[in-house]
Amino acid sequence: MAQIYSLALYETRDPHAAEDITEGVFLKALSSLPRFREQGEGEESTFKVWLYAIARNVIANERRRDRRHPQDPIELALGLRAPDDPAAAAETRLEAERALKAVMELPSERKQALILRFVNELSAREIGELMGKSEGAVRVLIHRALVSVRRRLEP
Amino acid sequence: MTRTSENAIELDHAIDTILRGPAGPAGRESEGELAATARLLRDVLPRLHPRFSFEEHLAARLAAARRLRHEPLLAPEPTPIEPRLLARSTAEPTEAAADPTAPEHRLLGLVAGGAIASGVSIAGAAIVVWRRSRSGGFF
Repeated sequence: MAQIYSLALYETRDPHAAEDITEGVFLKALSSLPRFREQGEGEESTFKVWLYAIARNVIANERRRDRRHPQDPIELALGLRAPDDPAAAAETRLEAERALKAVMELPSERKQALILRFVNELSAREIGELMGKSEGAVRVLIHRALVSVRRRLEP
Repeated sequence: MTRTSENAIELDHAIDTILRGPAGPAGRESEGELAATARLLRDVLPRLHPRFSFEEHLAARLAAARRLRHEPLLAPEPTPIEPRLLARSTAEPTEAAADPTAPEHRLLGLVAGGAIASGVSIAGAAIVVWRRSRSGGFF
């Protein structure tokens, strides 16, 4: 559930909207289960991609329906980290904020690919199935997204 | 295959290794700039968790939705249903296999629905343990 919530929060930047989306995804998944057909086993299971596909649809619907003002929950989350070493924590926080800002400013498709790869830890194949792209196209998309992030992080 | 595609494949393998590896900056000096950026994102992009009260609320809603969907089916069943369904599940595929309202599919939905609902509960319990084991963290 945390993975779906994470994806929704990155997309909406609104904790309340992310909760609404998460609830909608799982209720939709429960009602749609009779139509789900497993087409793989183990790491090849299609269940995860099916669930994320529902999430993408619910997120898209939520965006059309609701235009609440985004907050900064991610920055808030970073601020809640326990500062064992204040100096190191400050440096880490600065680095994290710059990286996060660089990701959030990417074009939508690149940002989504990076979030799915690094936060949700989906493979390029799984992301491709979700986004309607080939595995190779997703690899190139992620490569270009990382080049963009790298350039934005350069001093 | 273009140079970009080759680089993208190489980077994808590096990302797989980074995602499977331990957290922290180890290896940064020996890897390429993009792999180092990938490692940075792995380390700093937060995995966010919803409020525990929301998890409890959602688990209750899913359990209620599951009951609403399946109680009328299971409650009045006078004879044991499992042996018949289990026996049929090992038989040759029938027309029922294409019918989502067939008992086999409803049972599958029940089991998988239970998995979703209990998965939420288990996730909630795991998060409680995790939160109690540390003094700070996300949400």
